[in-house]
Amino acid sequence: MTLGRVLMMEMMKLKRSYVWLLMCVAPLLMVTFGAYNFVRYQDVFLQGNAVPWEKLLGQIVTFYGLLLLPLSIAVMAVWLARIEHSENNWKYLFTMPVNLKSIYITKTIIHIGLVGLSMVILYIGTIGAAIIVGVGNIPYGTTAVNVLICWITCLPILALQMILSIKFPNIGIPIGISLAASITSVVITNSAYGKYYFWSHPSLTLIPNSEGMRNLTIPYSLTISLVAFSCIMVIGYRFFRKHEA
Amino acid sequence: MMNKDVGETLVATKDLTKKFGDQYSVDHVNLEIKRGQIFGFLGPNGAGKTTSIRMLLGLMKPTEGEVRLFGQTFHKNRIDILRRVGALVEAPSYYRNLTGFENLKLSSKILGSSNARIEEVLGIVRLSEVSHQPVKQYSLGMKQRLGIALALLGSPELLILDEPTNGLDPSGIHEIRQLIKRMPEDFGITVLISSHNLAEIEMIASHVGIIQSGKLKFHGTMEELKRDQKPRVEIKVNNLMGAKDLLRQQDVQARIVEDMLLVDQPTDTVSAINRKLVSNGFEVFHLVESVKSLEEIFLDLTGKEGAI
Repeated sequence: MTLGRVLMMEMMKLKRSYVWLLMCVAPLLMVTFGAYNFVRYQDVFLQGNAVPWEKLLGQIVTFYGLLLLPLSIAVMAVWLARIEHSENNWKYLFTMPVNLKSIYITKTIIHIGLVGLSMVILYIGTIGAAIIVGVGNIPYGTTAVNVLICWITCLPILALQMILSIKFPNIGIPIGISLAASITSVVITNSAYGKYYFWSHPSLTLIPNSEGMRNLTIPYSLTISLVAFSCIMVIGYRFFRKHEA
Repeated sequence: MMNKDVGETLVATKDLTKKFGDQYSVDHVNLEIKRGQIFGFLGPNGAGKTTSIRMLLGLMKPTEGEVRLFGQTFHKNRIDILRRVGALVEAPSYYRNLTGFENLKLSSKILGSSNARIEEVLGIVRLSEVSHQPVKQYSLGMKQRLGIALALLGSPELLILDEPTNGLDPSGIHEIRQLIKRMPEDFGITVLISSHNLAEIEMIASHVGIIQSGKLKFHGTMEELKRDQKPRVEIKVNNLMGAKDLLRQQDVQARIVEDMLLVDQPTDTVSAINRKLVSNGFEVFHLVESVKSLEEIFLDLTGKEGAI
């Protein structure tokens, strides 16, 4: 199958290139900070009938979902496009007997996989922190589902960042747009408009219900993310096909 | 392999045109390259060579006109065409974090080439010894050779090389030229090589296309290029102005260049011109019928500003 062979080729290109470690470091960093913060201000957090697990989770995912996750998605897209922008590689790639669609799809698959890696590490890290800190009951299942949904809500962001990174060899543009979108999401996520803003979805999905911001249902998140992702992919591929090397 | 359809047209363009804004980068170019040729695509920098090549490879869409490779168009048979073509456009492509071998290996995933073939092309471009070093440690010449190895990897029928000797040192240039010369006979590969260097094309090409400001000025064999040029007559006499006037009265147009009288389009024989001068009392002490050098032909075709 062609796609499999193209995927092997694309994976080989990443050898001895360690930018993907960011996808491991970013969630681990937030888990560490979140757990530290939770332990330090436990007395404040656990007033009244607060649920310890939810407070810990809130500490970990709020900043991560709003800023670090979208930004790391942008960095990965830049990286995946950059290996082709440098050294004249689009030209060579486009003279290979391979469908342009396969190239575009495999790059996106790797991108999705890298975000998935982040999600897995976030999940394991959060559970680990919860056990170490000792928050009592841990909802393993619900958390796993939320992390999975969060992964899917990342798809439109990821597809958009890929278009920008391929279109603009200058990394300032995709990263700048990502930063602006993430910062805007800090405001929007807290408002009623959060459900219409893609950059708000990952954090809205991860943040525990008790924080009162969560107004997304699972079917809504899934539908809007997958539909948007498909549309952006189609548009992205049209751009990609017209890309002159 | 070599004798497969000799004379089959591998590359044909019809009124190939590319406009950037109002500027014609390539202006109604008609190329025809047949199997077994080494086609030299010659022109000064910025004449439209790379743009033409990018259109030949489907990297860029023509504004007007058509490209056919192996009789097929990119619109319908992109993958079939590219399977039979190896290319090096402008600078070599490579992934710097990988070794030379790994760079070939990843292309082999698509081309279906074996490890033995990878070793073979590394041998052809003499990179076997450094094949397990990261490409970022390679010299420019080695990267260029890796680019050629990548182009050869899929055993193409047509090799398109855009300025392959650019930036190489003299021994590297020599080596790549020798390699290209072997292609048709040793490997059955037809070659299109672009260059701004006339001497290079003269050394390796069987056929030549000369492009200037996007227009194709000449298309044919090297012999035809030389044959088309009439010889001119160089004369040294004691009185240049007087001799020029005399010849003009006799309907022979001459011009004075430094200490010589040049007749560019002689209508008379050399001896007739000589007789006219001598019988009118001029002292002729130099009379030569000279054939233009290729360099002069090239400069005439491309204009002096195209001088390298």
